[in-house]
Amino acid sequence: MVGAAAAAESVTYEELYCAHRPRVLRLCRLLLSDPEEAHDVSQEVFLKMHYQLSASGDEVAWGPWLNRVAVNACRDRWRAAWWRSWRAGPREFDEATFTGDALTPEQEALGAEKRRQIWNAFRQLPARQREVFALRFLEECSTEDTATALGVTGGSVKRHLYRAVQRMRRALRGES
Amino acid sequence: MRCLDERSLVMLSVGEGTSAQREHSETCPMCGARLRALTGELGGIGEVLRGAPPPLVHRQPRRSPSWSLVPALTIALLVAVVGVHRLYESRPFVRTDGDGVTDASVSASAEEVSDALFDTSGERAVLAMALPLGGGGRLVVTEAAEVEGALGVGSPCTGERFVGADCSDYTSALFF
Repeated sequence: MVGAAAAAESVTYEELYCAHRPRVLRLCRLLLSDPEEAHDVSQEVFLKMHYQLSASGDEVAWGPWLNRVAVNACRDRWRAAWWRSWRAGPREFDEATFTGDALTPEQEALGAEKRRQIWNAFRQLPARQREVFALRFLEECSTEDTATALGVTGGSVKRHLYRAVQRMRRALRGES
Repeated sequence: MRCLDERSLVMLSVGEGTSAQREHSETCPMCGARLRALTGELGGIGEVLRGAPPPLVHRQPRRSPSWSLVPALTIALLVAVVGVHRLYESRPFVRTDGDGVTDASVSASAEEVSDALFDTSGERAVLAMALPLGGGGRLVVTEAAEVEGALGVGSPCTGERFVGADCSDYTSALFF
């Protein structure tokens, strides 16, 4: 009986893990701009999900819950990493390993430069705008889910989203 | 309905906005074109950001500012302390007030005032001795000086003998 319950819980966890892991990992990558850190943080998120799954018998809306936990974990990692990041010196994207598929060398060069600009513009957004842009626009969460994940109002989500879009566009046009 | 402003277009392009705005963008060729351009621009940004972020290149780590500045600051502090110490040893301390008046000039003025107040020669000395005696004091002092002169005894610090004599103690005794 206990084994069956455990098996059921395990299946549930696996289902949740398979359903949400790509999205959570992508969200962590967006917020941290570092694939290795994102991998570590996503593991932490799913460990917390496992504890939550074991401890809570209530129905949980796992999508918003995972968003909220992932955003908070990324914030913690970002705060803890600032000194280490500063010590490591300025970091830039490696353009040589960031090229498109089936493109001419000129297209590859242009594509790589454009992508580098987009990622740099995104990384330079203020933290809140970056979170809103990632959740609402890139992950296509609803305004309500985004607001719940970030602990803000729907109006605040819209304001930050508009500012983030404008700032990204200005940065990509080369405007200050 | 008037054409949509920039903010309305941005919000429509990210899935926000009212139904009236959306209808207008579908009927107005100009707003429709602007919305399509904006949607395409944001679509390109989203496509890049939804993909894997490029690897980050870590540059040479910085040295900690504390460790790099400590030796220089220590040496500068030592040089400053030694320099100030030698300066005060080699030069007399000349203090000036806000008007640039030195202690030497103040001392000279004080001596003049003192000489004027505590003159021990001639008429002023007689007046100084007579003053504490009250009315008729001057006559008493004068007569005493004459008697002493006639007898050839008494204090060497009376009458003409005040001039150039070492009468400071005697004068002090008269005053106090």
